[in-house]
Amino acid sequence: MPEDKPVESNPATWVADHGDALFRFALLRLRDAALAEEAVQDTFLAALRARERFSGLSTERTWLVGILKHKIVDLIRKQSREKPPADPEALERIGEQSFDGEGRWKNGQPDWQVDPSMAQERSEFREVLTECLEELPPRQGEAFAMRELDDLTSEEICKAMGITETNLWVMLHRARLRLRGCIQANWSEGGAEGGAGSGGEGPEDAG
Amino acid sequence: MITCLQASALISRSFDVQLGGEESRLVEQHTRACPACLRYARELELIRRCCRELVEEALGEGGAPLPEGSRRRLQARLELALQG
Ligand SMILES: [Zn+2]
Repeated sequence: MPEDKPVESNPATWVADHGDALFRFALLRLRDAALAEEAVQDTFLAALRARERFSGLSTERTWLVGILKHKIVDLIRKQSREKPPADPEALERIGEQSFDGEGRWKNGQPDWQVDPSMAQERSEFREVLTECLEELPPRQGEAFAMRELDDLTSEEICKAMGITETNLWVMLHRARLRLRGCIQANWSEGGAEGGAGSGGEGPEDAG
Repeated sequence: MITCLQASALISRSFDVQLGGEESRLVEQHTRACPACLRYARELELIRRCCRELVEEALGEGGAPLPEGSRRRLQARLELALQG
């Protein structure tokens, strides 16, 4: 008998074994409980149909999460067909907010001062990050989440969103600038107050 | 030297693809002289790390459970599919 017998997948226990984790991930991505439930249901049904393809080489959880990520992209794609495209002028204003006329950072942006060793601080920072992710314009938010939460490649995201790679990079760049601005506005108020500091770096006028 | 606007675009892109040799050189040269852009790169790294932690938190054990109604509906739907 071979020692490394593949693990069998048992659908009867999927909800009990993986329901919580899959739902939490879907909720993180979709920010809507009904949609998250739909994504998890689609995942289980697709997994059931593809059960014989589960090799047992990865864990059952990893396999199901892989399917879930695709189901989430499908749901987002379906939704984004119903959404108007991003307002290009609004996007331009982001650049104007961050840089002066000569392409230098505008002054007065404080250091975040997040201490990676402080679990509480990191947890609060993640809360601010989550709120700021929700503030991103829909298309930018979707592109950013596919990149940073789903860990999809540029190619996969372009295919899912029907955009070119150049479009994607511009979108991600703007999403990151906007996210950074939002974090700066929200984090410096509540977090990192009086943190042992990395010291002021002075105005951001270099470059 | 490239501007911060150009450097920030390249820094962002370096989080998605491997930059070409010349692009890497330009970013390196710029960030050596520009603390603001160096900080921007570090902030993007922190954002990436925290995004991964959000995913780990969601997929790990001990987070918020599936709402009871959702659990019942998912279980019922799955059982129906198993029978059919
Ligand atoms: Zn710079």
